[in-house]
Amino acid sequence: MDYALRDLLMFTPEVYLRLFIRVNETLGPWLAVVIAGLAVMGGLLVHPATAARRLAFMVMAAGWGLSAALFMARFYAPINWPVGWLAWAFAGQALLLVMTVLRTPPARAGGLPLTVALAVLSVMSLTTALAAGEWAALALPGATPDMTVLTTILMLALLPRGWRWGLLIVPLLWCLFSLLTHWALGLWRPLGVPAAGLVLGLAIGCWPRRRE
Amino acid sequence: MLSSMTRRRFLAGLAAAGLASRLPPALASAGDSPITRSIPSSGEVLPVIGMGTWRTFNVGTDPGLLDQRARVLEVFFERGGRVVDSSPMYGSSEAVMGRLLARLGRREALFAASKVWTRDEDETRESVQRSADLWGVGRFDLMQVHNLLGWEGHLETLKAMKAAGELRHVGVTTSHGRRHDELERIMAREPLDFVQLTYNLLDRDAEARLLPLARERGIAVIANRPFQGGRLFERCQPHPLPGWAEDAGVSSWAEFFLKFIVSHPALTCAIPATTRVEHMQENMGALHGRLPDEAQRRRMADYVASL
Ligand SMILES: NC(=O)c1ccc[n+]([C@@H]2O[C@H](COP(=O)([O-])OP(=O)(O)OC[C@H]3O[C@@H](n4cnc5c(N)ncnc54)[C@H](OP(=O)(O)O)[C@@H]3O)[C@@H](O)[C@H]2O)c1
Repeated sequence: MDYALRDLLMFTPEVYLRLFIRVNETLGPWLAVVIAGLAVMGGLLVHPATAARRLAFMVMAAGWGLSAALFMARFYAPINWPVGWLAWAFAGQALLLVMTVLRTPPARAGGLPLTVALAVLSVMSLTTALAAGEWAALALPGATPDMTVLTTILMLALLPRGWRWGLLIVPLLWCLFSLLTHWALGLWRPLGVPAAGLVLGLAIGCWPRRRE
Repeated sequence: MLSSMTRRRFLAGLAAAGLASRLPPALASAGDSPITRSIPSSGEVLPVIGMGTWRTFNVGTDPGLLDQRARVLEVFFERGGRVVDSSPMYGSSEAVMGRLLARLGRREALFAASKVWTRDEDETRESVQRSADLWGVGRFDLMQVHNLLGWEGHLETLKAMKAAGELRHVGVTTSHGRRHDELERIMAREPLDFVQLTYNLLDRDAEARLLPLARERGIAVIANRPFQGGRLFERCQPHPLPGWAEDAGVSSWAEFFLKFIVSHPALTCAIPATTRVEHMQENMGALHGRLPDEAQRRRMADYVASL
């Protein structure tokens, strides 16, 4: 007799996927605000003004705060107690993001990489919906942790390398935690999000220079 | 200790416990009485099938899932179940149980079993009180030290609480066959009412020393992971039940696994966990009918090993 990873997990895939539905239900009309925020963020990242790009990172920081307070602290932590602590780490990351972009301006995103990133993120958003068999289980960046982390990791490519590692600690830790959780739940498609986050996070951490 | 009670004795027992008026209709009309065992230290009679809550009742505040689990719990009580096992380790399970018990109004039928799960051996009382508040019970029927964590300090306090009438029974738990040597020493030395350990058709380490010791010391035994966390179904369900299963009182794989466990003379009850109403119905089937004899038990173990 030995412990398997799935013996250590204290909730079922059904309960986990319901979290996405419940967050979307709770946000209700505010979901439109989240989606609009994401669209505006894309525009801000290609904007020539430094202030606009800083604002994009601040919008993302707000997404970390929202994911921490709603998805993690309110819905996820009661069924998975380590998430309560990780919600605080998310709140800390939100502050760190704001402080960092106030000190170092992000570079301007290229049109093509941004389009590719948006396409990849849109597909990734669907993985929970596909697993649950319901559109209502869509995972939006800025409202759910995996997608927030993945989006942020991509954005970190716009910061100087020296600043990236400090901002990668929480995302990489989360991706590892989330990858193991999805593995234990046997949720293979949604597992792609934290897996991509881990790979891209390490790649971006080592990427030699930013685009200017 | 084994007592397949007659209907009259069962009803008399319920009446004595003030439970006759709450007898579930399905049971009241059932032809055969539930299989029960008595707790050696107190003589209280328990149905041999209880339920666990690990994973299955950790649904947080999800209204849809709370409704669904309420139906699972309702079927459990309707089919004559009493022992519900939980722990502070199981996320929101204790809170969920409290909400559902309040909704169903079935606290009187319940034999509430929870655990103390903290390294801090001075925190026993606080932990028991927190759990009692979550369940909404005045006192627990059974409080166990979870996985022997800080067992010495916790057990001392639990014994004192029992002596003061704040708890009805005390015990300790292990699972996955862990720390059986230590458990054996504790069972030999401490005045335990209950011990909870992993026992199922594939995990039978307990048969060698722990179950005989439990009988010798008059300790009630709860079997956790009766389906090996569901793996027994994955292994066996693709295969048909053997032709002789009916002679052993078995009509489904769930009954096959559960009746093997509760037919061991040292066992008091098994606590299968499920999220599904139809599975609960199937599992509660093991509470009725014949139990396999020793030869049939050997045959059951050989059959599962061969699959
Ligand atoms: N250290 C400890 O104190 C300790 C350790 C382990 C367990 N426990 C206790 O023991 C309880 C039972 O153990 P467990 O939950 O680990 O595992 P278990 O009861 O052996 O197995 C539960 C699994 O079996 C499935 N199942 C239940 N009835 C079924 C049926 N009729 N047909 C098909 N599948 C069925 C369930 O899935 P469905 O939801 O789909 O039915 C679930 O996945 C726990 O809930 C807990 O209370 C205590």
